[in-house]
Amino acid sequence: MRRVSPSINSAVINTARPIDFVFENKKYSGFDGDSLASALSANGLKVFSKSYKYARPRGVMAPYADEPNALVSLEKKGIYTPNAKATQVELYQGLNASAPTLNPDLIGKIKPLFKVFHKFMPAGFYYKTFMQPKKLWMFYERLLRSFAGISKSPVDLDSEHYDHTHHNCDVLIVGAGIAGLTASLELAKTNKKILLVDERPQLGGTSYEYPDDLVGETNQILHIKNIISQLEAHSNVTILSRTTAFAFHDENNVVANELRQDHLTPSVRNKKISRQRLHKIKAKHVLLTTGASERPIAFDNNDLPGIMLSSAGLSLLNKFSVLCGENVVIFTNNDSGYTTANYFAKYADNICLIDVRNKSSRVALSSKVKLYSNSAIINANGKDSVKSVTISELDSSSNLTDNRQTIVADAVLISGGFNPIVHLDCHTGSNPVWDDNLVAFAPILDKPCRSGAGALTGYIYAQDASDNASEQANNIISGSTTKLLASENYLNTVQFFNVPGFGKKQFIDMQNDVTTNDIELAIRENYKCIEHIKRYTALGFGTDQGKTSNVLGVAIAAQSQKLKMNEVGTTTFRPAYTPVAFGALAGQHVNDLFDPQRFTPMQPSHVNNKAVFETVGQWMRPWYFPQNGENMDKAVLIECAQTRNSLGVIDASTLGKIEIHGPDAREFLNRVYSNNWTKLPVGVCRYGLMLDENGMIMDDGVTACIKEDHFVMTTTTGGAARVYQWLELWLQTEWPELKVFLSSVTDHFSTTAVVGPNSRKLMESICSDIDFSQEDFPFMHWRDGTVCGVKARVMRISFSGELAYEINVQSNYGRYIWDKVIASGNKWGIVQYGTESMHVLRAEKGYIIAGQDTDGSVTPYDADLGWAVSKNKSFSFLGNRSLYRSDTSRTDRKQLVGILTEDKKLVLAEGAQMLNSTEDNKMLGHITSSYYSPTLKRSIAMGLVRDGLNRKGDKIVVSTAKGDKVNATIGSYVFFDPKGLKMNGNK
Amino acid sequence: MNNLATSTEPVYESALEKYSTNFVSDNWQIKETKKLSYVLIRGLQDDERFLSALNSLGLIMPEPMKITVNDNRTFIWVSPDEFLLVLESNDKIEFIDKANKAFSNMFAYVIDNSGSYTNLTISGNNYLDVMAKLSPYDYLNLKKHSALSTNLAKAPAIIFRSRSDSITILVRFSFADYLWRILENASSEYT
Repeated sequence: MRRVSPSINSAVINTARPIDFVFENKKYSGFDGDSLASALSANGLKVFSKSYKYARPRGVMAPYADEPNALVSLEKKGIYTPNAKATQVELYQGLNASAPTLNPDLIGKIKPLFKVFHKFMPAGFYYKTFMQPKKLWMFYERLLRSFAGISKSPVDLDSEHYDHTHHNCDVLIVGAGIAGLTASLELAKTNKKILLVDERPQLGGTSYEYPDDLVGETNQILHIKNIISQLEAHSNVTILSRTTAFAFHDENNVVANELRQDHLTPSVRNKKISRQRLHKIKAKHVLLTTGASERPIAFDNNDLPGIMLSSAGLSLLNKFSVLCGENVVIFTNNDSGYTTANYFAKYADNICLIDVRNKSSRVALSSKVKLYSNSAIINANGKDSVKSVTISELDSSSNLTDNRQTIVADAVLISGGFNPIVHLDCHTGSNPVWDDNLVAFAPILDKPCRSGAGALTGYIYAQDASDNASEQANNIISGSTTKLLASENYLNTVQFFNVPGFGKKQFIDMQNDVTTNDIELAIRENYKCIEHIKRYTALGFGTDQGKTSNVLGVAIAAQSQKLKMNEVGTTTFRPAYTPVAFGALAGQHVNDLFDPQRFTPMQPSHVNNKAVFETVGQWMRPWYFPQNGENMDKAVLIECAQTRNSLGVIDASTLGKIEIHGPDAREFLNRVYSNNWTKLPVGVCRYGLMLDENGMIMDDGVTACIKEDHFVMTTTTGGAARVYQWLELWLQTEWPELKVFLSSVTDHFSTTAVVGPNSRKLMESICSDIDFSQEDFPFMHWRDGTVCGVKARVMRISFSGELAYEINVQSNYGRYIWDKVIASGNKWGIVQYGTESMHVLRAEKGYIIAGQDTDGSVTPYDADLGWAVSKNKSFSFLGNRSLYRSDTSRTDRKQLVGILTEDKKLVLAEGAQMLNSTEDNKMLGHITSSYYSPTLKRSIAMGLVRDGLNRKGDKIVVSTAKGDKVNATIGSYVFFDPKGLKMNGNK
Repeated sequence: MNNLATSTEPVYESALEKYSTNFVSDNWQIKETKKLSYVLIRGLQDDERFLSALNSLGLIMPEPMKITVNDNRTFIWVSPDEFLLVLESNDKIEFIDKANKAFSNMFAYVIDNSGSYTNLTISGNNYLDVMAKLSPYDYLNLKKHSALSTNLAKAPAIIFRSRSDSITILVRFSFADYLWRILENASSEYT
């Protein structure tokens, strides 16, 4: 291989700007504009990798995204990229690439030694060989993976960033070849908003590979440059190069990935700009101009380096000025081979054209080219690269004859016809159909507001593609449709996919080392469906997704089963068209932007006060407050003890709050809660239990009656959105006759809960317009007043069993109130406490947490909350009917009870299993909550136990995570102050 | 941030106190407007008495996904029976009193939701590019006096346009910090 003088028209390299780079720790030089593949080829490199299964040497095969062999690993550490296709990698100063081997010694030295065993390693070899013994599979898998010729997965944190953006456009055009550009220009003249995307760095698609193709009197490179300059004047056109539309979803939603900085030296990349950007595009119309990719013809040893698609050879020659060989053999079943031969005739010493057809081509052939009609390559010879090919004359039935000869060749270019790139059209479920005229699977483009043009629909030459694109663009403008596929076989392609009846190593899928024999073996073993063949042989898997192999595989399957191509069909085309980095899929939604962190107004004070946070739903709640570096257990001991003995304060702002207005508000509450709300007076609060349709507890909370037609409901922190939606669902769909409005005010109120025997004294010190006496402000009542100068609603409710008040103010004053409460409470030694102490305090008192002590299978009766179920409602309530079902009304269901271990210091694990005895392994239930109680100076636990309410006093055993069995006793889950004496606080 | 306990007067804080919320460049401008009040109004749009009561309060019911602006008050359509009034804080108590009287004996209510929202106005050469990163909605075609409820990234928000060169975002207090940080992230390449 060598550089030749760049073509004025088509070369994309700039020889005035040399680029130094490294491959496999060796320095090379290329030019600005080179791909890694072209630069390495220009340096004489033919072997890029060792194959996946057989470790056979492999070189460049395809021109761009369809490349199966030339995979490389790029860079190191935080910018490491695995399995990049060298044909797509743009060269930049200092690029560092390496071959994609997991274990170079295994791949390079040991694996080739297995060559003699290759004949015993057909498709299914791994399945059949490594089935037994089963326990060794993990070992086998690790060993086999280390042999694979692919890159290691990245292990370092990605040091670059990615983002997403959205587009709304009138027409999305995918593919900026001659068709896409022509259509864009037609549409640009309207006022439509046009988005044109193309995966390549240069607009023009494959024009650079076939520059002499004419549009009118002009070669197509000049023609497209003219179009591009015109498009730049249209402000309604957005063009995104290096942008691959990789997924097409329903309703014309297309996802594309833009490589914004991959082509730049890492050290000069703009840190403010994302490395890659995911574009989510919503288009009123999508015009697919994705073109067509060439397919090979299989013959023996067709995987030798130096053998490639003719379009790959033309790409190297016309785009990158790299001549891939001096003795070039071109193997074709269509007219494009003649075009290829003519291009190479300008540079190569010897050109032979092997044509399987006997009819003459429409393309005139250079006199320098030696033509072998009615012939086929049957075998390639060489060790690490092709040295010669053996050809055979074909008879009238395209069978081999004995008339054979060997031709010297250092490059073999194959053109087996062109496959329309149908992938995107197929993503929404439109399977392509075999078109005998195009000799290819063609798109059906049957979805609304979608069309195709150019080579995708069979218009392979530039002039035809251009004319067709203009027509389709005008169809979009006028809203009309015309015929879809070209009616002419422009290239005179014939069906010839592989050399029949010859050879044992005709490779179809280079990336997975699948041969024609593997397909036939799969069929013999009854894997006849193409989807089964794919999975048995691995045909079409991998980073190239079978772009060069799938149609060949279908053809072999058809031949083998004597079926037509359409009867075999294709495998399913799924996104992504080409690999997409996980970083691009995640975009900016990573690290602390992965999920919203919701903060209460008191957050800055919590940080000031050394809170350790935990995530509850999306809320960041203080977990505990270590004041002197103590651990959580110690902090919780201090927080609980001081709250029980004097005063504590907790931020309760995260609870959901829903305003319920309307004359039917009370009736609505009766229907959504299991208990009765008919007689709740104004100024009073009540605990409510919410059940789902199955009668199971789904949420709970306190609801206050503000006025006859106005209530405020609180929900659990994590359940707020779900409960709000649940209530709206029933209100809007089942009970539209109820005059009720629901309004979320969760964020409006901040809630500071002051808890402990001295909380009344604290409240009296900061609020003078509410009478806090026991008589005037009893438990489960609320009052409006002014706290520290801020209008507040104070509720006397408790989640600890202590005297407690919740101060609700507008969120903007929440932190002010919090800080004031702490400052005012210092005289009683106030402690701030977090969710962990809250859990301990509530568990001591036997207050359940919906979602922790219940799990969607617990009725109010199971939770010993039968008192919260009212059977005396005029209208039923949600879940009521289910409580009468035979299973739900069983008395021996799992029921919530208290569990006390014999060893008072032992804190059981939540989730631990309970058993009757050490001998009886029948599971009774599990622990739902478990803590060490500083108040009781012992461990306490709650758990769901089969028939638990009837078993209070029974001795059981609990299995620990280590497998030990510990003795425990079933009892009440109210461990502290069962008579509620502390609720009224100190006098 | 400082301890507020030493203050003798109530201290108002927005959700974004720790950030500099008035950033200005040609490409990207973001401004927080504090101390506005937000009042939810609930009523049935086909209820003549409700419409009449709105008129008596100086409010014109907006069309779906629209706003009406009158006397420095922005009245936003949120859903068929839910409307959000943005007004000066000093006017809130008087307005709520008047509204409660106007809505008495009818199925219509006024709800103070002033603590719920953080108000951000964005503009500049690239503000639509920033919005495009956070939401699929076509903000270029969001006409003046139009509104919508949507998610910006993963934060629920009410968005409206009262000027042709800017967009106003109302985000819930608890989501404001997240939205601020993701706006910072999305706008960084334009600053």
